[in-house]
Formats: sequence, structure tokens, C-alpha cells
Amino acid sequence: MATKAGAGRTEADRRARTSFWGKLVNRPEIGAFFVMIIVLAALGMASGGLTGGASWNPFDGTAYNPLGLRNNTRIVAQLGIIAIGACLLMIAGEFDLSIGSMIGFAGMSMALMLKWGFAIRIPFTEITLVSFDYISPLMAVLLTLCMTLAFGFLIGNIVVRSKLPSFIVTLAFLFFIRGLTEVCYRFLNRAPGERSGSTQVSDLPDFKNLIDLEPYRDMLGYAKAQASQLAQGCLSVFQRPLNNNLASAEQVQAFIGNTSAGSKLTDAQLAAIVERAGPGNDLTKDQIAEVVNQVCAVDPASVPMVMDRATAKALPDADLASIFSTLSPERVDGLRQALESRALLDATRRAAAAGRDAPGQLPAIPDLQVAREHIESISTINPVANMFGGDIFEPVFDWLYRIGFNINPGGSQWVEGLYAVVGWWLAIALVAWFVLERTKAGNWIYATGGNLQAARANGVPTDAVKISLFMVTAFCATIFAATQVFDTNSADAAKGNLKELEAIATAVVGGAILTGGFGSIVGVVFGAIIFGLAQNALFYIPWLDGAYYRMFLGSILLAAALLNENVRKRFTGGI
Amino acid sequence: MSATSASPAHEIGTVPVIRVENLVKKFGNFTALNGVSLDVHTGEVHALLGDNGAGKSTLIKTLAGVHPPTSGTIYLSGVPQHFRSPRDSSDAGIGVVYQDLALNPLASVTRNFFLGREVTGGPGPLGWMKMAEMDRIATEQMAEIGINISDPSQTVGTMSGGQKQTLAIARAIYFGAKVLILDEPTSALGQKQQMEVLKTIRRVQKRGDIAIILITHNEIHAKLIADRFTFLSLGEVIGSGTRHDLEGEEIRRLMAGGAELADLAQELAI
Repeated sequence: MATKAGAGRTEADRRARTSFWGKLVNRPEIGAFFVMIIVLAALGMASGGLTGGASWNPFDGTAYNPLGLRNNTRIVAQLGIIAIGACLLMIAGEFDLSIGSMIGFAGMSMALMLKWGFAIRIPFTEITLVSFDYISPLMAVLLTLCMTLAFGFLIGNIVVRSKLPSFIVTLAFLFFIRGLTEVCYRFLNRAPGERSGSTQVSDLPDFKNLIDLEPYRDMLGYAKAQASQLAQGCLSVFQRPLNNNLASAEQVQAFIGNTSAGSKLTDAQLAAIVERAGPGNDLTKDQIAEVVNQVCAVDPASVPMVMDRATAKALPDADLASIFSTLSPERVDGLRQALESRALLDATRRAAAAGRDAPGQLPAIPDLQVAREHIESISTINPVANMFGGDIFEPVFDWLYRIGFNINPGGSQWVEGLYAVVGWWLAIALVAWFVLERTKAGNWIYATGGNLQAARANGVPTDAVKISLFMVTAFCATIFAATQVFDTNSADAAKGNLKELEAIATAVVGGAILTGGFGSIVGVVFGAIIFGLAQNALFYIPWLDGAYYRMFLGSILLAAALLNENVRKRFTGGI
Repeated sequence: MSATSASPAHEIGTVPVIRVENLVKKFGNFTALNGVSLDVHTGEVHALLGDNGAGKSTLIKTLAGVHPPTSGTIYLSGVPQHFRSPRDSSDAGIGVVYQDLALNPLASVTRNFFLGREVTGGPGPLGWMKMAEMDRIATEQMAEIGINISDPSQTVGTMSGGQKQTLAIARAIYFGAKVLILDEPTSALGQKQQMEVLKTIRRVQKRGDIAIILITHNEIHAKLIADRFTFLSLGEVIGSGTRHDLEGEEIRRLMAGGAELADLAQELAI
């Protein structure tokens, strides 16, 4: 009998020791990594240099010049944030189709609070429990988070208690929350007297750039000018009816009342103006102005001194000069030196580009420019809004400018920094990666999706895991919405439409499998880069039609799903 | 000793680590267990045999705290217990290795070994896991009962059935099981792996500080490894005894629930 002795050989030996490369290939994110490299290179080459046309050097392309980088990373980061939430939930074996609607809802909630304030009323009564006319950006974000997290908690509870597929439960919430968002816009976003509100908010102040010039109030003509503006408006309106020979005081009053300046006056003010300066009083223009000023007088001391940076920098020269006069000599020197070195750098570079000699001496920096630079450095009164909608990595981009990159075709610094959403994306990715790979909670998430019964039998609180992850996706959607609202100072009922599907697609491309138990945050980061760049590619590749994006998304999604299934089979021994 | 006596006096004379007295479990008007009594001693493999529907699963689920008993008492080292949840039972020192092993096939050996009881260095669920320490413990513990795993980060899905069984047993022991309940550990395994699992059970037995309840369908395995047998049929103990008391023929007869097998053999012989 021909037998072969199995002596010395154990079961463990049958599994070949995996090499470094073998381990790498078994990583869930490996497919996404290679696709990402291809997309990065292809976009760079196809987007062409500043001269247009393709180039073999991907870094020549407009996609990765500082401006391209700024715009591309924003799209990537927005997608990345919600994809991380979707990925964590998928690893635990559930889905969330309500992400997109949650983005719309959170944006609506923040924008309406910032615009109209916040109140809790008992429906069908006149009883108001709490009411705030003004809601700070921080409170807007926190109150919105309370609501979206409550939605996440509710969805999670329904899923774990009813044991219905999360597909159906969250599909229901996709419709419900989107509808609720529109209803809220219609109902809450209307000026007094309007029957139904607009489904968008587009006139929010630029919260992240609001600065307070209160210390300069007494020396600025701004407050006085603001105070007299109303009177001026009234006056200009008021002088017209006289020219039009309106006959009676009532007709004058009706005319003024219908104009934009007149609509800000009370009926008593209107009546007073008409009585003292209307037809039949035979006043001169100056006398009419006097009356209007008396009636409409606004106390300059009550004019708020909060304004956005752009308005402040455009103040009249006299006001800027007043601000300049408050600066200490050291401060002036510091600001002036910074501006001078910048101007010299720009001039030297321009001269070098034109083949001329470097300029020896530049004209001195005017005082008003120093004052504007000072206004630029005054910190915002809404650091929270700045945190969501402002810029980040500014020192890096300043440094790049100084060492010779980040220079626009005009020869000065190109971009200030990246959108804050990029920072949120990186921070959320880092935290999610740490939680998933290095904490107890991460082990529970994997186990909940990998084998629910086993996790339960080992004492893992699987219901709590799932409910918290539904809250995490709601959190990610809220952060997405906050970065959008404070960046663009607007909101819209249609925001976030179809984002849930892009988020799930990104998670799948990143290596997550639909049945749970497997996935990777690193993979989702790669996936977000792939889809973000592809989505934005039409702006950088002149001949590319935007419609190709969905074809690309579809093909990559299918390929990724097939690859993931293959990996899963290898890991479970073909089951 | 009579093969049909319900509660044999134990010759070692110590307090049994687990004693079940007159355990009754009713599901509505269905009586799953009807007054079962059982003694298991430390360092002993106690085989629990019986046909399908005999009440083996109900008995272990009651011991595991999944079902509260309708009446009767479970004593651990002489102290009566009232388990309200599987957690109570496992905290008291009863480790159950179910047939499906409660493993996550997509996660690593270490992550499975410490599932739900991770070694962490921080507060609450967000405490970070000490992976190196956990890897070391998992490897050591599995080596102790006879499986050398080459890589504690390999996924459980890639392991053989015997290795998975060992992992589940090592895990139960490490987390303080004084009584180890193995639910059909050799079913659905190949011949060689069955022997591996039996060897593992023998190693655990030789430690001398753990009592093992072995539920099985296979009287050959039971005969190979068990010190003591209890036979269940229709929710009652129909026989028990030590390895030396029982012959293979008798075991087979009792496993099939008494005399019926002989009748069946007769019928088949025609």
C-alpha cells in the first residue's frame, strides 16, 4: 500500500504563511487603491496644462493646480464624509437610504434658524414655549444635530425592533424626511403675509466673515451714514410725488407706503411726514429733508457695527484712515513689512517671467492698504461658522506661495487654503478608522455585521451598535449640510438628492460588502477620491461630457462588488 | 450499578461542580424536560446522549441561562443558581460552545477570541484594544489545548472546522468556564478533525479543573472520551452510568430511547 506519512505536518501548516504582498492583496481596499491611482493619473494627463491639451505629466494638468486642488478636494471630502457613515453602517450589516434627505433636512433646519430664529409653539394654539429671534451658528448646528440624531435614533430603533430590512425602513424615511423638509420650507420660510414660503434660503449673511467694528464706532462715519440712509431713502421717494403733482395727502401716503423705503416706516411716521411736508405746505427741498430726517431719525448709536469683511474693506477712505490711526507703530510696521515682502516677491517673479531685471525699489504701501490688511486679520465673531465654511491649511498654502508654487497666472498668491469640509473629512476618517480598527466598539461593529447571532451570544449589544451607527450616518449628513450652508450661505430643499446612493456606492468601492462584516475606512477614502474626481472631471477635461460620470460610477461599482465577493469567498472559505 | 437509576451516588465523594435537580421545563403545554437530574464533577467528561427531541438542547439552554426552568434547581459547587440571562450563566462559570460556535468568519482569530470581552486601555466601548497582548493570549491559549495557529490575524473563515472548535473551546476556558458544555462538537467534521477535537477535549480534561458536558450523537466518540454517561429520552433521564458500566450495545439501545431500536432491528431484519 502506497501511503505517505503525514508525520510532523499539522493543520496549521496547510495555510501558507502569507507574505507582505499576499497580505496587501487581501486588504479590502486594494482594488480601490489601484483604481484611484489610475483615475488620478488619467485626470491629470487629460486635463492638460495651462496651455490646454493633454500631457504625459499628470501634475501639469489643471486638475491639480492649486485652484483645481481646492475645488476637487471639496467634492471629494463632501462625498467622503457621508460615505464613511454609510460604510460603518454597512459593516454592521445595515443600510441607510435616508442620508441624502437628511442632508436636505439639516441644511433647511440650519438656514431657517439662522434666518428666522427659533421657537417652539404648541400646535393649534398661541402658546409659545421658547422663542429666540437670533440663533448663533453654534446653536443652529447643535439644535439641528439634536433633531437629526433623534431621527437616526428613531430609524435605528425601528430597524432593530421590527427586524424589517433597513432598506425598506430607510426608504420610507428617504421620502418622509425629504417631504418634511419641503413642508418646513413652505410653512416656516415665509415673510409675514406670504401664503407659502420659498424652498430655498439664499440671503444669509456671510457668517464666517462677520467681524465686529464696535471699538471703532465713535470714529467711523459708517453708523451715521447707516442711520441717515433710511431718511435719505424716504426723502428721495418723497420728493417724487411732489414732482408728479399728487393731489392729496392720502395719495402721497399711499405712494410712499408702496415703495421699499416707505414700507420700512410705520403708519404714524408716514402720516407725520405727509402732514408736515406733504402737498399744500409749500416747503423747499431742504425743508422737506429736514422734516423727513426728524421723523425718520435713527439713533446712530443703535446701528450694529457687525459687518462682513468685504463691506468693512470697502468702507469710505476716511473711515479706513481712522482705523489706520488706531494701530500702534509696531503693528503698522509688521503689516507693512508683510505686504511689502509679498509685493516684492510678486514683482520679482513677474519681472523674471518677462525677462526683466528684478525691481530695486517698490512704491510704498499706502496706509489704506495697511488698514485693509488689518481688517483682514480681525478674527470672525462666528468661529463656528468659520470652522464649517471657512478655509483650512492656510499656512501650508502661504508657504507654497513663498517657495514658488500656488502662484496664479497674474503672478500673485492663487488660493488661500482648502475648504473646511476637507478638514472635517480627514478628521472623521481618522476617528472612524481608529474606532473601527483599534477599539472595542470597532470589534463589535465587525461582529454585528459578520455574524449577528455570534455577537449576541458573546454579549455584544448588537442593537445598541446598530442604533448608534444610524445616528452616526445622521451625524455625517449633518456635518455635510453644515459645511455646505456656512460655505455658500444658502440652503435648498433639493440639497443632498441621490447622495445616499453615491455614499453606498463609495463604500462598496472601498471594499465594504453588502451583507456586512467587512469593509475599510481607508478604502472609503480611496473610493471618495475616485468618485469625487470623476464627478468633477468635466470641469477639467474640455471634451468630456458630464453624462459619462454615471456610466463610470456604474461600471466601477459593479466591478468593485464582484471583486469584494471574491475577497469574501477567499476569507470565508468559499461559503 | 443499574443503568436506569436516575441519580447515582458519586464515588469520588466530592461536591459536584454542577448538579441539576428535578429540572422541569415546559413550553406552554409541551413538557420539554420532565424532572431531569444530573451530577457533573470537575475533571470529568460527562456525555449527554439522546435521540433528536430527547431534550438535550433544552437542557443545555437552561444551563446556559437562555431559558429559565419551570421548576427544579441548578447548583454550582453546591450553591443554587438563578440565571436570568446567558450573561449570568457565563459569569457563574458555565461556558457553552454551541454547534455554530458563535464565531464571526470574517474577523481574525484574536478578534473572535476576545469578542465581547476585549482587553482595552480606555473607558467604555471606545477604549482602545491592546492588540499585541490580545494576539499573544489568543495564540498561547490555543497552543495550550493543542492548536498552533501560525497567524492570529488570519480570518476564522479560513480555518478548518477542528481549529474553529478549538478556538471556541479555548475562548470559553480562558474566560473562566468551570463547566464546559460542548454541543455536538464532532458533528459536521471530517474523520481526522473529529479525532483532533476529541484530543482537544482530552487535554482540557487532563487540566483537571474543568468539568465537561459533551452532547453527542456518536456513541463511539462518547465511549472514547467520556467518563460518565447520561441518556435522555422524551425529556427524562432513562439511564446513566460510568464508562465501565456500559457496553456499546447498551449505549446504542439507550441512545435510541430504550427498547425501540431492538424492535426496529427486528423489523428491518425481515
